[in-house]
Amino acid sequence: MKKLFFLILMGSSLTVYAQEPEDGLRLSWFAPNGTARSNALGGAMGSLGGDLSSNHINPAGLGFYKSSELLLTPKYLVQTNNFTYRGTSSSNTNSRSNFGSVGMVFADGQKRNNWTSTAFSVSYNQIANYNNHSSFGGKNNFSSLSEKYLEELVGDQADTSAALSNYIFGSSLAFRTYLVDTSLDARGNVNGYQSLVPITTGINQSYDAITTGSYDELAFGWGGNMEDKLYLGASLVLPMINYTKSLTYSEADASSNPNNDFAGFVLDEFFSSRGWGLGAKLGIIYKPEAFLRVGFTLHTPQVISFRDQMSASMTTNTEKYAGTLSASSGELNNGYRGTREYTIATPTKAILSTSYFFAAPGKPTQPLGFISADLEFVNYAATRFYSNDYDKATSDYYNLINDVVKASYKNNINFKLGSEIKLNGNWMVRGGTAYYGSPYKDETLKASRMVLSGGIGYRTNRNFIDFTIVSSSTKDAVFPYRLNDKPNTYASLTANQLLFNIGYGIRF
Amino acid sequence: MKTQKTNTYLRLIAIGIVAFSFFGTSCTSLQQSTAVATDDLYYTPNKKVVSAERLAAIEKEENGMAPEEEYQEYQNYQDDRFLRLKVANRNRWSAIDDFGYWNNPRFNMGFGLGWGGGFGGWGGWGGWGFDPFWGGGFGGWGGGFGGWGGGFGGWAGGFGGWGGGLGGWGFDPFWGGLGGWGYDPFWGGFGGWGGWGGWGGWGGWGGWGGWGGGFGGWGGWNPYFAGYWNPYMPIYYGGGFVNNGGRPFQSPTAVRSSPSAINAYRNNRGYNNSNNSVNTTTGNTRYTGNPTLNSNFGNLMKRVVTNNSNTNYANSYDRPARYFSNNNNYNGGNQNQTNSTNNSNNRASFQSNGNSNAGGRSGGFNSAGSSAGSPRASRIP
Repeated sequence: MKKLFFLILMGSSLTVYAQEPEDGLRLSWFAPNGTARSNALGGAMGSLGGDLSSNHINPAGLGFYKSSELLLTPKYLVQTNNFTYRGTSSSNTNSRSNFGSVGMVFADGQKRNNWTSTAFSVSYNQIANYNNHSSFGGKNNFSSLSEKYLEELVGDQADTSAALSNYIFGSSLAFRTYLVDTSLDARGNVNGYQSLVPITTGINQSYDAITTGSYDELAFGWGGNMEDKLYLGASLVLPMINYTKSLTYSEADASSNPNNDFAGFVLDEFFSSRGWGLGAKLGIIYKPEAFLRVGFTLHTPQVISFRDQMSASMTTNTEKYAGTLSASSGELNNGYRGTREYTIATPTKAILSTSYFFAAPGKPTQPLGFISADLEFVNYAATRFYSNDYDKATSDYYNLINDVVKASYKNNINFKLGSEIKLNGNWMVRGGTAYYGSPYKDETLKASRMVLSGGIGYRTNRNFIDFTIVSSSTKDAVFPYRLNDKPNTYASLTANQLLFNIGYGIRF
Repeated sequence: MKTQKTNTYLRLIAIGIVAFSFFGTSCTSLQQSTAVATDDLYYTPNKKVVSAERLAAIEKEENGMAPEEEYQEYQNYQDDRFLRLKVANRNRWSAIDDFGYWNNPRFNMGFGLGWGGGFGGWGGWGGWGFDPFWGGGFGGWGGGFGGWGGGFGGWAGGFGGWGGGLGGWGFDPFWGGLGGWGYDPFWGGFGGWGGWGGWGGWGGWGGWGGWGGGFGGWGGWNPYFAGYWNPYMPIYYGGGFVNNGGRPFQSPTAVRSSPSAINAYRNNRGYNNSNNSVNTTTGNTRYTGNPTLNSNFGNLMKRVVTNNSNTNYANSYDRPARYFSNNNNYNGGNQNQTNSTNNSNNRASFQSNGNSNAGGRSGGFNSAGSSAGSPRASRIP
């Protein structure tokens, strides 16, 4: 019994270090979702206010509220991913729906003390949706994922004992299934490791990843209004992340040679990451004139504590070399998945905003609409990983990750522009655009997000409804694996998203 | 497929419910008023204003007042209100008139924006202060602390030094008489977590807003002494943080045992997204179209020769390989092996000192298994 308990303890406490810089980018490089009105305006809400998205963009905008509000914004998203990988194009489409933004604003529209009005808001907003299906493949006669295992084993000076048991999510599986094997010198000594993949005759590679989950924020915000002139606000945000990735990666012999000791291998990986944390958003909006607003927002780093799990299995067919063999991390870890716990601090964001309200010449006090622009400063390289364990080896590891993040990513200025025009007292039309530049320092990698949006809104004194369509195009580079000593290969991604967004609000 | 249909139906039902509830609840209001719908994004008058002093105006509006009249009525009210205040205390409110920035008399409150606080020694960034109670309390506090003494200064704190930590946003519900919630990073009592800009988390431990040139802060808002800087509390020196405690920010140096997969992000910015042309006419498959590739990366390949009676198939091909160097370092150098597959499942002797404790970082994962697992299966004889 004691032995069983010990084994369970060992299995459940296995620490996994796995970290990749993309883990941080997943939390910072996206076009945030908001309310239907905000989305229609390209997210350029930093100096506007009076919308629930203020709680997640610039809380000072809550100060514009003088009546309370309940808002629901269901969304439906269709995404098409187009990949080009080593000359082979592929495409797949997937769709998903969610509740988007849900929240309430409790406004005190009466003047109290020095505040003309104040408002408190509680809202839940899905700012990033991870549900996606990425699939690409192509012929490769230059490199193989198995070389990653070779680099790892040789780099660590791993002997066969270590190769068998100390890399249960990758190299050990490859070694146990003879995807990689030892290499011997003339005297029979192990002088390295070799892959069984006959690289120069080519292999057909396939990458298929299904990701699920979302990055949600629960925000408690307060905004105050001073004489309809100066607006201050702050929100306390609780980010919640739930992310899973199921990857099936395979390489198959392209030569159909049954005697070259390699037919193919399949690697299945499951990875899940859950985290929650804390952050704050602080903002100010100032109206120097009735027709002009300027705003500034600071999003503090969100400190998010994560718990991840991972498992992997591999099946390799080396034909007459060792036949078909399978191995899994569960077999080597008493059936448990590997886990790790760590903390990420997301980059600080600063948003400068301005908006101009235009009116008919004869009616300067009656705005017919506005145009709004935001500049968002983000330093993606400022993402920081922290170990939850305070031993030196772990700290060194996370320092390495941070070093790589700093070396790989850069700061950037994202641009958002939106406009609304009142058709009459109740109807409005909106349009917007946003551009998010590449987070990568390496300019070879083409990455960007371009957003075009439009919508209509109808308001009465008691409720309102908004319809928004957002079309966005994302360019990115997806690496199936990374190697140290050879040029890497990647798939060029162009993802087209179409978001349908309805916002329904009740004012009270 | 059935599930997809069900989901579609559910979505349609949901949209229908939303649409029905909207139009169902809005018809009444549509019929009741044809006036411009209020929209907080643009502007909405205060409720108090509407109920107390504009009742007559509202009644008129319901009887057909034009929207522009409604808006102008509000502006007139603002003007009127300012005049009343000025009559009540000329000295106090005259400051507004004299302050060029506020040339619009409609705004009956002042806004003092000035440089206050000066330089706060080695505190963090002072910041922006807001003092609704003491009037001009002003937040020029630095170093991660909100300004105490008066309304408690806005946000700042610990935004200095390097690392760019953030202070907190401060409202002082105790002194400031504010409703709602507040966050006081200094006292920590209200708003809970004092870590932000206070002690502990942000601005506390090394690197984040720790030590750095202090800046007293600027700005201030004073509804009572509007328009000028409060002479009583002009400066708050930032306390700042000295990096003498907490977790140090370690120098991010690479460690030898770090996973190659992670290092590859930093070390390798070369890319190859096209395949090599091959020559199979001789039965061998070799790099032929890329001389550079041959010289640079051929040394990572191993020629393997097999005996194959079927001449339709190549009998020689290249496999990726990596070799230990003599000094135990990783080496991609060419060992010119011709046939070196290992038929033994036993631990072979190592040319260099093999490390049985190596690993734990497969693909970046610390991955030493907790169970021994079965030994590696034997090869086909």
